[in-house]
Amino acid sequence: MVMSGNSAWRKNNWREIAHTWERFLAIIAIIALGSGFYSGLKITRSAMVGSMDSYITQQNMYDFRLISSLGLTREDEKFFSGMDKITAEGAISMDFIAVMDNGTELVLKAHSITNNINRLYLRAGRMPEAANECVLDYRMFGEDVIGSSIKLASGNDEDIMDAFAYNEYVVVGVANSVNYLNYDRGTTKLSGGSVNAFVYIPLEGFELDYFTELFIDIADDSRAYTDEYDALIAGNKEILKAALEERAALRRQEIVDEAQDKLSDAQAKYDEGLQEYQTKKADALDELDKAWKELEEARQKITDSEAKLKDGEEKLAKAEEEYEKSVKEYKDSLKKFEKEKADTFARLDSSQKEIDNNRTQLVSAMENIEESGILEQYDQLTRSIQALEAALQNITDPNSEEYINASVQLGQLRAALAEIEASGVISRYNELQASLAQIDAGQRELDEGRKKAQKEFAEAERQLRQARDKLEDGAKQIEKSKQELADGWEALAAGKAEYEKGLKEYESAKAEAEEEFAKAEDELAEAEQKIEDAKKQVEDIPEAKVYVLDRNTNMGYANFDNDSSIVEGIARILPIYFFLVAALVCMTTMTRMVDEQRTQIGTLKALGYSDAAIIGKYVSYSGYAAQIGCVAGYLLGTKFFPFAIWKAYGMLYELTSLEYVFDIRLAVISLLVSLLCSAGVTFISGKAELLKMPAQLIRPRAPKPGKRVLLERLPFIWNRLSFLRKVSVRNILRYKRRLIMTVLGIAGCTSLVLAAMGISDSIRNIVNDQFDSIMTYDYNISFSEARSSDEREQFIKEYTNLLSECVFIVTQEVEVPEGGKVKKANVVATNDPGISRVIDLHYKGEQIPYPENGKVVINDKLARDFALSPGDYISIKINDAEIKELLIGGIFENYINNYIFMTAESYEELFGEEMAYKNAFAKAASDELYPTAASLADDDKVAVVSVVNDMRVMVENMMQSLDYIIWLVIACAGALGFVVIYNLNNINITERNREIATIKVLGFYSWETRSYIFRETVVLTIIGSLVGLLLGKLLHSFIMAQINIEMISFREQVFARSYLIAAVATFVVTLLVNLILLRKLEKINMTESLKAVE
Amino acid sequence: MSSFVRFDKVSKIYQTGDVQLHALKDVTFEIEEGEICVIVGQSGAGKTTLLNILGGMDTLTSGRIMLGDKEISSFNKHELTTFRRQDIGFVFQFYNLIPNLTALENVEIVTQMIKDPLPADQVLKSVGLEDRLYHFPAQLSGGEQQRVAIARALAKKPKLLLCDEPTGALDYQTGRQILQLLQEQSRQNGMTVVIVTHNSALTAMADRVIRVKSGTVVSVVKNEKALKVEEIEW
Repeated sequence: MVMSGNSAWRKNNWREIAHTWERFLAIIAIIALGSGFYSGLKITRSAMVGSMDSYITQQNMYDFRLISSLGLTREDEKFFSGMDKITAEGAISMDFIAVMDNGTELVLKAHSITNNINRLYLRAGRMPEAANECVLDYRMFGEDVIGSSIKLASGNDEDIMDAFAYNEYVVVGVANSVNYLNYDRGTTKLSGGSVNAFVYIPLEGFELDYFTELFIDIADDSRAYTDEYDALIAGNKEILKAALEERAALRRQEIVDEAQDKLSDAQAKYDEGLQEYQTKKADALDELDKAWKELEEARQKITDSEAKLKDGEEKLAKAEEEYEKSVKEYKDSLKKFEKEKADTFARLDSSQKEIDNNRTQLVSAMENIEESGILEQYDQLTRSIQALEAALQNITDPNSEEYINASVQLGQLRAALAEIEASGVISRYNELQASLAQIDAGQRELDEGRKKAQKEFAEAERQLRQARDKLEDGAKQIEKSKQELADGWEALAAGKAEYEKGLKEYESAKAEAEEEFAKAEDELAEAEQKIEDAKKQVEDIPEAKVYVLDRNTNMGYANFDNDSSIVEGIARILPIYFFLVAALVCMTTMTRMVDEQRTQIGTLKALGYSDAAIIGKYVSYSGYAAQIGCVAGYLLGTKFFPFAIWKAYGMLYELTSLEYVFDIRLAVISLLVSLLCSAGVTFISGKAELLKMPAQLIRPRAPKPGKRVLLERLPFIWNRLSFLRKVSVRNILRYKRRLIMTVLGIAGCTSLVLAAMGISDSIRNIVNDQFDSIMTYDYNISFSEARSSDEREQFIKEYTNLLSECVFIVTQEVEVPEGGKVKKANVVATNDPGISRVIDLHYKGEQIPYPENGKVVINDKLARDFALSPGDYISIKINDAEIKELLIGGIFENYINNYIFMTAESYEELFGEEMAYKNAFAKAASDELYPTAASLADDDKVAVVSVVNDMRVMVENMMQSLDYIIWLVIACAGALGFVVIYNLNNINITERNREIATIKVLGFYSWETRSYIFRETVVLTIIGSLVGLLLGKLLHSFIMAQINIEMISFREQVFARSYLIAAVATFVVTLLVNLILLRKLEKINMTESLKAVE
Repeated sequence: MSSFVRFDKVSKIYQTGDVQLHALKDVTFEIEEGEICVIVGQSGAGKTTLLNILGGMDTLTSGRIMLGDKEISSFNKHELTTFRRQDIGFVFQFYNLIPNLTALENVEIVTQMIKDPLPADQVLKSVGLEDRLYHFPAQLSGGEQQRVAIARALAKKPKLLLCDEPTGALDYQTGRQILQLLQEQSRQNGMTVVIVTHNSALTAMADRVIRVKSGTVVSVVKNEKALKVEEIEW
């Protein structure tokens, strides 16, 4: 056996390489590509994860974050720190609205600075030294913010304000925080729903007596994102949870006790209050009662007096009636009297007249008689008689002289008289006299009557007068009574008035008292309710919800895991492809080489070289190439792939630089695979040939027979082909292996270019689609306070010149959890129909109507991520706790962020609160985007105007960073295509040297020769690129499925242009190869054709 | 008869590095139209170079070569290609058929390049391969392959048929048949045939024999009594 260490042998081998450098280089290149691609993609995750791990370790990111709904204490901190291998550090975090120096309002999450865990990575400035100093979010603010200050906005809730020790904090530095590994800053209940940035404040800057969270660091070396780390976490999680639950139970008891104490105090106070109230009430009631009694008495009196008065009045009335009657009687009496009087006097007067008449007659008759003097005589006689009689009468002793004298005289006289009387005259006269006497008697009678009448009348008159007087007295009495009554009434009225007043006073006093009672009772009731509530609350003090959160609940950490895994997904498929092509290239190349050298091999064998040595020559030939290729590929791949991918992803994360990671395992694997694809393939494909007997080998190999191809059986096609084309068809189909390899290589090139272009298409256009055809508004205006309906109208009117559209909305960030995944989404609610003019909801070209009440429309990515379709329910998490389900009414295309649209009613029902219109989507009326934004921002009502264009630019920048990957893939694709096509053509030309020489001899012009050979390449390129376009589409879908950036959804699309570019790029590579090989073709000497077949 | 092919002090020098190799030195001879000319010499005598230059496959360093009224030595590359294409038929030692084409197609590859060729099938029939039209070279014996090669050369009705060791790879009997075929074709069509060989026995069938040695023409002998191939033994 001849040693392979033999120098001539080695020389021969080296010469072989020098002689066939193109071939050697091709193997190097293809292996370099394969191993570069493989190791590069594989190492990317390690590099990314490694860099992240270093950063995390350096800043000592927490392993667990413990949260208890009841808060955590120093004792808890001590307790956990006392556990084995554990360091615990309490911290506070609190969202608040901050006012920056320039007046903009932002939602910040304030954290207390922790000393050991989650150390800040200070980017500029210094750490706070005083309690009113702070360190701000570097990513959001940059360095310029140092020196400014942040204030607590007045709009913050009281308990938030209370939690801070100061109202203003001076920014002394900017930093990155491991709590925020990427751009995500989390959600909040505060306005807008998302946190804009974080701020770190010394613990003394807070005024809370408890911690909101406890960070746990476990002393262990396991690296992040490894199974060991996951095991460590899994192993500790339960222990911590149990401990935390125990601590939380204690904490609850503490709180319950404290509350119970307070409750007892409150109860005592309440009881005291109740007692006092009751006493006071009794007193007041007594007083009122007394007052009431008095009033009652007064009222009784009034009633009595009233009755009396009424009685008096009645009596008076009766008296009056009687009086009236008396008056009437009197008047009647008077009338009667007067009439009687008049009658009587008239009668008397007429009797008088009669008498007077009679008298006159008598008198005249008597005067006649008298004139006759008889009468006197008579008279004298009578008088004398009378005197004598009188005298007689006076003489008591009728026997006395005087009497007898007088009686004699009397008889004388009487005789004289009787004489006269006998004359008749006297009788007459006497008659007359008698008549006169009669008349006189009459007169007398009359007079007497008169007198009597007069007397009577006087009497009557007196009586009447008396009656009248009486009446007058009565009237007077009545008058008096009346007066008395009137006085009585007046007094009564006064009494009544007084009573009323008293009553009123009493009532108001009573009302007042009652009111006071009611108030007091209310207060008491309230107090009681409060106590009840407090009791209930104490009873209800929840069994402290505790959470043991590991890093996977940290958005940045978890997303980084996903993001870095994306590349792994791609790394699973593409390298296989590259290695496959590499293996095919090696196989074809080496087979060809063995073929070419079969005579030499035979000779060597005949000379006594062992099979092993001969096989070794070829195996080591490709092995050397593979080793060189692998090392070059590994170094380049592991350097540039992570770098390019990092460029794309890095900007999403806080990391500054990427570490170079050398993975010996990966290096060995890629070397092994490279060797397998080269030396292994060489061994397998060469073995058959090499094991033949030398005699066989020395003889030229029987030419591979020409064959009819399937196409020839299709005369309608075959017959139409020009002759040379037929030749090409046959040639193409002659070497199946080479055909497959070429097609695969070319297809690989095309498909990679297409996939890369497709990624670009899918990504690049989302920006335009998003901002030109979906979200067409220019601004998202945030107001400091919710706008009422009038205020909204007024705002729109005020800016009608600047804004062509202004739609007020309510927006809230929510989480959509399902099956372990959590995605963020923005709920947007409005009833303004103008929404459809600022947001165009459509899906696959069809308009999607704004949802009706009770339904929502969600974006396609959300639907895809959770496999939802219209009619399904989507779960959303509100305020970090409650999970609600919403009926999906439609799905619309959207590329940036997730959105859930709904009506105001749905929103109110969902969140159980009124629509607080604090945001508006607006469109500028002119092209002056920024000046308009500036004038809007000047408005006091406006807190922030975010210009959508800024977002657009940001996303565009982000997208552009993906170009690195695209260019890298395109470059690899080009290289792959080039190597494959070059190698193939090279082999093709070398192998067909004789044939080419022959046709040259036969008189083919150069172009004919060229096209004779290259036509095959062109056809293969066409086939390869067609296959490649198909494969590329699939590859693109595959890659798009792997690339999953949180807030962005890609539209899986490949433009016709990209197909064209991919195809053209492949043809350019082919053309380039042909151009290079042209020289070789031209160099083929016709005299070759005369040589013996080797 | 005027000369059809005329070599006039033709020299060919291969320059490899500092080494100059005189493949041909002042070669002068003439061949008349319709003649069968055998150029004979030992390996390395320069006969193949001579044939290559005559066939327009290689250029000469100095001298003049005329074919009929054409001066081949003045042709540029393109003119040489056209010349090969239209005026020259080649028959190679190893046939140089295109393996992927059938017998008929191997002839057609030539007939389709030029104006007014002989029908391919007819030519193949004339070389006795009417039953083998659709066979691929690998399915044909060496003699048959060489016949296809001859048919390919004949089909374009060349002014000059150049044969390089046409029997070199064939057994005696087959070789004879091939030579016979060549002779027949020459006689029937009055075609000028130049055969290059190291086998002196073939000189018997030639009208003119040119002996070459070390790049120079040793002798040019016109053989008035050319024998039929059947009559020759070697």
